Amino acid sequence: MSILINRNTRVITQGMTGKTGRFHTGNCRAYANGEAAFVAGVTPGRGGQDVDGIPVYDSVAEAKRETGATVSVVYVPPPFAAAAIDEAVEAELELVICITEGIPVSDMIKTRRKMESSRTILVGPNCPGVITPDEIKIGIMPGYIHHKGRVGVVSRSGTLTYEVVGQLRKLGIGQSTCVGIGGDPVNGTKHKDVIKWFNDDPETDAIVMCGEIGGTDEEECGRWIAENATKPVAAFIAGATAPPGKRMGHAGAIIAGGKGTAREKISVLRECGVHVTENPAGIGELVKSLIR
Amino acid sequence: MFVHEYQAKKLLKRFGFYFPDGEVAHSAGEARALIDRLSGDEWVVKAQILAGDRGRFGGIRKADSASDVEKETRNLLGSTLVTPQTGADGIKVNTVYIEQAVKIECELYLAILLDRYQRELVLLASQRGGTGIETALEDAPDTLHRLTLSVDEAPDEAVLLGLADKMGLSGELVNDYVDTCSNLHRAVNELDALSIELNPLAVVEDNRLATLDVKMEIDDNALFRHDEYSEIRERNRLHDRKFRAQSGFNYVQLEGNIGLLVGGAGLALATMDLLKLHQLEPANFLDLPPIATRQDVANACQTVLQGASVDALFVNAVGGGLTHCDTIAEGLITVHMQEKIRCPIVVRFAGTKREHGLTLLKNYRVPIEHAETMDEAIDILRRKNRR
Repeated sequence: MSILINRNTRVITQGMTGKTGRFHTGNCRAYANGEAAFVAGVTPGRGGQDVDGIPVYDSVAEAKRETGATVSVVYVPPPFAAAAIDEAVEAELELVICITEGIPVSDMIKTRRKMESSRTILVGPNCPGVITPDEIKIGIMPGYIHHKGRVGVVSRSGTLTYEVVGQLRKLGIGQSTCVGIGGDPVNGTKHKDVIKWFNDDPETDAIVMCGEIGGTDEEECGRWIAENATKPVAAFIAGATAPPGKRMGHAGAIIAGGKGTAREKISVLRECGVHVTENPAGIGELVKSLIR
Repeated sequence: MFVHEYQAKKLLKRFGFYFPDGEVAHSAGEARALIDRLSGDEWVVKAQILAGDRGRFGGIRKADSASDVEKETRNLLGSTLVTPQTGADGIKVNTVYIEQAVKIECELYLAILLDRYQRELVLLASQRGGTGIETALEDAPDTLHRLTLSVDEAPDEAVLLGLADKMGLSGELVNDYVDTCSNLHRAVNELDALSIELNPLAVVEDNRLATLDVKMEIDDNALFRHDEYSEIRERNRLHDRKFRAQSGFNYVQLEGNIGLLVGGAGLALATMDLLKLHQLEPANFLDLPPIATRQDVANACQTVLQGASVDALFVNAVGGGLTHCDTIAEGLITVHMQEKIRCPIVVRFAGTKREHGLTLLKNYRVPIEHAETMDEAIDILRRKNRR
């Protein structure tokens, strides 16, 4: 088992005919069960074509109807990306993973509002995607650094996830699923959602969470863990040394009005029973100490 | 991006705000010449820099004749303003805005900002506007009123009337205030602003509300749908060294001496934390663009090396989805071929194209020390840092 995606997942690529969509879909097909998993592409106006043998449809609804796919990945450029998510939500897909970086904030707010009554799960935007090692990869992460195991990883940052996975690999620790939730403040899935799913997943024994400065998602997640989690959670919060008032790369990574500091997040998480390391080079060792 | 006061006022004009008469000047002669076109017999010469608190630190000068305007413009242009918001180096003044002076009865504060975490707009209003709004808010936080507004629907008039009352306004000013709030809401939405701050929003002679200063931030992700922003962006980039350095990537200068070239925002933050944990001080934060090219990396590297006092460069890359180690290596090589990098360089490559990146650096004889892990990199940096 795993969370969100597995070897039986069938995927639609939105933005299939663009350079990025085509390139990464190719890489995903080359990973594990990818050849069978990626069944359709969508680009409005390009229906009837095929890209590298994958049929392209005009709409998500049509692609879903024709192929039975329930998940989509969005590589559509920023001006049209929110509308692409809306389309996947209207087609009632189970999961939409949006890789696109740079979607206007007001677009995403409107998209999230429209999703309020929907059951579709959104991961991202501005994220590396989701991977269940040795089964399926949906996104832009390097597949080969991952291997199958029983630790769940959730992170706001792509490269920091790769770093953590690399540390786990050196220690021979595999992952059940790795979820990049993205660095935008207006996003879909939050740390708390992913940790709930990992907590319910019989094949996940421990969880690693990489947070960063800005917002209060990590704190909310901590409070949920204190009351509900039955599995050990290791955490690292990036940005302990970031100056206040400056936006640090990710749109969400900013300490504003004294809120969103790493100090505050770390102290709340510790109170909630989360195992926090302040050493980004020591995350793997911390996980190892938790699973024996 | 933040825009200058004069640019914000121009953008906001069509939404029905009232501003005193004003024009931009880039030279003292230009300033003197434009006075004939402005009403009034007293003016303010305002330095246009992308940082606040100008008033208290000499960035706003009064003048009561054309020659005085010319003199104050000459004094300001080319000077460097240092305020608590500019950093110790200050910001050089390249443009001034000359505005008709008005008689101020009282100063209010009014802002609308996008709260991305709550996914709604927040209106902030205070009776204590003008300079030092922050300190006023610290002394008496209850003087700040907060309203939540919908992103798409216009604000409720009854609520705004209540707010006008809290601001102590009466008579015609009440409607004026309600209109100002509605206009501000419309402006934030239509201009794709993350925040617009009117401070002060002043009650002036003739019993009307005038916006005397504006601070405004535009959503960088939405620049593509507003033609007028590309000109503003280009103009500001030409005049502002810091702004230029930031184009394409996110760069924040810090106080330390270890330059950082790291792929990805999260890893960049984590690398800063790691240095500090080992009593080393980062010279900068830097996030490369999502799909970085060799030239992007070279530009970023140059920006880092030009930082105040870089004694060593730490390149930390985990090759992944969008940027691979060999691209980072090519960027380093580009810089090294142009201007030998003189400080020690510690490179830690992992992930995609690691071997290729290291081979390239070796072939081009870039004098680096390679570290397998972040811990090993720290050991090398500590050794170098002892000098």
